[in-house]
Amino acid sequence: MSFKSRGVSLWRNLVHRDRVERDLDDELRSTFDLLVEENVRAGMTDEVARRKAALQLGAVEPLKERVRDARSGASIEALAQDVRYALRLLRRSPGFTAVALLTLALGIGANSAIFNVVDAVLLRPLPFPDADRVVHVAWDGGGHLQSLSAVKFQYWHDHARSFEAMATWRHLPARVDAGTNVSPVPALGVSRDFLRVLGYTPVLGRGFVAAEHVPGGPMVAVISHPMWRTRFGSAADVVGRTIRLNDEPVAIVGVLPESFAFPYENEPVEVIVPLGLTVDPNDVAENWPTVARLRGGVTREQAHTEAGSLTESFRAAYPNQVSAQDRGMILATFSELYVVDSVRRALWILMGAVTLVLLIACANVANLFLARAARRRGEMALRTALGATRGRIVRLVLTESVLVGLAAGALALLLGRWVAGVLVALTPTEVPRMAAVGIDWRVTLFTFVASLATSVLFGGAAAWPAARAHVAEVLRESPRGSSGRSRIRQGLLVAQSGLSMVLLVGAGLLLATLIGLTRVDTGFDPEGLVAARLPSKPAGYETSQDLWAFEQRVMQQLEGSPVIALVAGASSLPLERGINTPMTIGGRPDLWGTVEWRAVTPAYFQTLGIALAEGRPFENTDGAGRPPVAIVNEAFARSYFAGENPIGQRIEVGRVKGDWIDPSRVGPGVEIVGIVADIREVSLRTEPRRTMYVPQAQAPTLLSNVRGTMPVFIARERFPGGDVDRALMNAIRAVDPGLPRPQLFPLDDLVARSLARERFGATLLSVLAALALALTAFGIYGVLAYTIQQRRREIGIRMALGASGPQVARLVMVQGIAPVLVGVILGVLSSIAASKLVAGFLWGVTPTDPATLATMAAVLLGVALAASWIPAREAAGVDPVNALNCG
Amino acid sequence: MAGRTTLLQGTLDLLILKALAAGELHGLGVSRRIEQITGGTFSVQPGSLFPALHRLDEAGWLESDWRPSENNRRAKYYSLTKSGRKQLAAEAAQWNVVALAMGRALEA
Repeated sequence: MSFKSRGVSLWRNLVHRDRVERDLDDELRSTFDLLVEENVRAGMTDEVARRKAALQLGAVEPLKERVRDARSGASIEALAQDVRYALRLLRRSPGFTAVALLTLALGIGANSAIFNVVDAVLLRPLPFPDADRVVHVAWDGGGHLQSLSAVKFQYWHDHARSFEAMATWRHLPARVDAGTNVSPVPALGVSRDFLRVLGYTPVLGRGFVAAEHVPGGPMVAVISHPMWRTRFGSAADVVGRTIRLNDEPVAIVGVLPESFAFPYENEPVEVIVPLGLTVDPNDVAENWPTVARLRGGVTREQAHTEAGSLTESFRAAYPNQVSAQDRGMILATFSELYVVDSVRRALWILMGAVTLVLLIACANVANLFLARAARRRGEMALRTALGATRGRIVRLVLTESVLVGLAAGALALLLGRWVAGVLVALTPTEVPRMAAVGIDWRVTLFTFVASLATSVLFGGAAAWPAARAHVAEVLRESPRGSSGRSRIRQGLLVAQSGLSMVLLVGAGLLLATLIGLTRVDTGFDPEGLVAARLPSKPAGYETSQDLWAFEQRVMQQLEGSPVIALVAGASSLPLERGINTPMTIGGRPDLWGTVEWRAVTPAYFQTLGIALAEGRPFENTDGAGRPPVAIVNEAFARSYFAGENPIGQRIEVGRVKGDWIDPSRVGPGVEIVGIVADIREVSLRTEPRRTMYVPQAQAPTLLSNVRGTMPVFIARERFPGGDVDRALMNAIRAVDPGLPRPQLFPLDDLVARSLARERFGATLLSVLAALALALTAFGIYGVLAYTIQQRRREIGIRMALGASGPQVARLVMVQGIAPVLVGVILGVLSSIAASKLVAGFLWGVTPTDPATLATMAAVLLGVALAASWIPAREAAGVDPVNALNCG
Repeated sequence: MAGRTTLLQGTLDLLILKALAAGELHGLGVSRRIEQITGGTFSVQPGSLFPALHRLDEAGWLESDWRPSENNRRAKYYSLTKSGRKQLAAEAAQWNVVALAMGRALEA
């Protein structure tokens, strides 16, 4: 078998087809002549000789067909023929083609969009050069992973030999003034070797040198490529120019490459500045996320082992940095550290949901193709009679479906891109790497494979009965053999209804959760409240007294303010995590536990609108040096003092049963002087936790500093529309102009933001469920309309025999509703079976909530009824005479 | 047609190659020659012969040419190429091995 010879033949057969055909014609004709000659020589007359020769040669067309099939390129030619024919057919029925294309494009597009997000967040490798050499270093604090403290970072930096470089960073809210416009930019403070770890080199200028990483060192910055382009017009002399960063002049020393990507922040980083890491052995705050680059030749396992062995020597050197349940330093993946478990699960569930929608769309298109194939039965039978094999017929139908599928895939890619863009805009910020969402080869490949798979799926479903058509039966006048096909169609309807039901129930449960959460009584009145949050804590605010003094001065500034009626300070806002601490009730070692702890100014409860149930609020006289007091919430009182009066009792903070956690905390404890109403201190979903409030003036520094943040201010407006923001900001500015600019937002936003995840999930799933519902409705309508068309004669007969319009209509509607009913039951069963998957996302409603199941079943059946209505009416209007004559 | 014995594709190929070993023939001639050398056992119909001829032609074992035939009409003549001759020898050897083994098996 010579490839060259085959190649030549292939070329000749495809390109010079006419010549090849003529050659074959000539050869057969010459063979015929030779046969005639032979016969004449054997003694026959001319006419008899010709007839015999014809018989000897046999049927010419099938012969030519067989020679053609034996040629190289026969299959390619046949394929090209099929494609041309399919295109012609599709063009001739534009309505069918458009509907099929659109339906598929919607289904595949939705999948493409969600896969885009899943890919960007979960599957794609990190964007750094040589990303497989980059590892994440984390501290295993007994089951949960934490960032490093400054001490830990320094220790590993100095001692770990498996890393070529280590780096950490901190988010810096920054304002850039470069000429006329002031705007906030995402900025990072980075440690030494930051760029080296990630693998980027500046395209202009340089990175930072050691001297710049010292606290109080020279003010320099490296800017991003986009910033260089837009603010400096890609000027070649940008190195050395100055920009104003947070009102300080900062010299630009370099420009980052265009490929720079930082997946740990959701907004693209514009400026990086050097950070001077102060290493204080007493500072246990774990604020430093760490990445490292492996040294050449070192494997992940080796680095992991070394990290573990260094933990022991670290524990010996810094015992107060390691607590009993800590397991030490480990290497973790980006996914483990930055993708919350619930996010990961949510993404995969979303992927599943959108696949269901695609399957429903496929079922619709399969039904469309089935109907079309039924119309072409005559053509198929003819082909079979002419010698087409079953495989050939299947290939014919599949060609059409693949063409439609691929075209839909191309459309879907565009659609998916747009939808993904919308998703990125709406996604809650806790989903990382959303910036990486975009069309890359993986998404394209996925879309292509999805299109192909769906084409084969619905094409196969349509082709199979077509291939089984019995020639004789089909060519008869009145085809009756459609029972097999209608079973497939009914089955598809059942599947569609079932899948829609599952999606509807899912959406319904999430909606119920969302509605339930919006109705939760937060316990305070967020209307008219504005919060001011300072993003970082500079030097000078180490002790509790420093914080209290600061709060006092700010509140003094706002006294008599025309726009602000009340203002208070607190260690954290409601609905956000605060500080919790172990405590024991004084004199009762069996009453102990962990409670929420807040340090507040006296006006806190009044400002927030929290009712005082008993006792007294904090006064300005509850200061340092005076007897330490506390106010607890009702949950606390119920928990430890059911039936008794908590007022006057003492709380020993920092004591667990009989033991004090820390010798520095030993003391008589704080006295309870008041009880306030419960508020949702932690989140909307969490029941109010046992909470104790202390005056900031008396708060122990140790607890105040746990989170390392400045206190937040909450102000209540005197009247709507006042510029509370500016008043707050000016007051803070006036007290300490060196503080970074505070974040200002209304407390209403806080409540809304805490629902962001639920709102997003419910919206998304509702959209998908609505899509599924629409597709199913369309499917029902299509099937019924087609069935009526096929069975006009039967309807005519029934009516002629006395059936009334409404009776016929009822028949049709039953045909539409019956499969949906079965589907609903199957869908309900599946939802119950899958309930464990979504249980984690729900609140206030069980996964098998009967009300939701019943409602959604009613919705689906209602839609099915509506979809069956028009075909039913049409059936009722059939004129029996007409039907019997034309049928 | 006395006892239509079915011919496998591989066997037909071998017969065609053998038929052309002695010299070039046109399509009909190949059919007659096969009939002759098999003593009338195999009578190949045009429906099987022509596809096979074209296939072998495209595979590079035969080459074809239009020539005037014995009665001065034009006919397409086939002849063995060099690789065709090699293929014939190889397939014939293979056939002998198989025949020997089959014979032994059936005697046993």
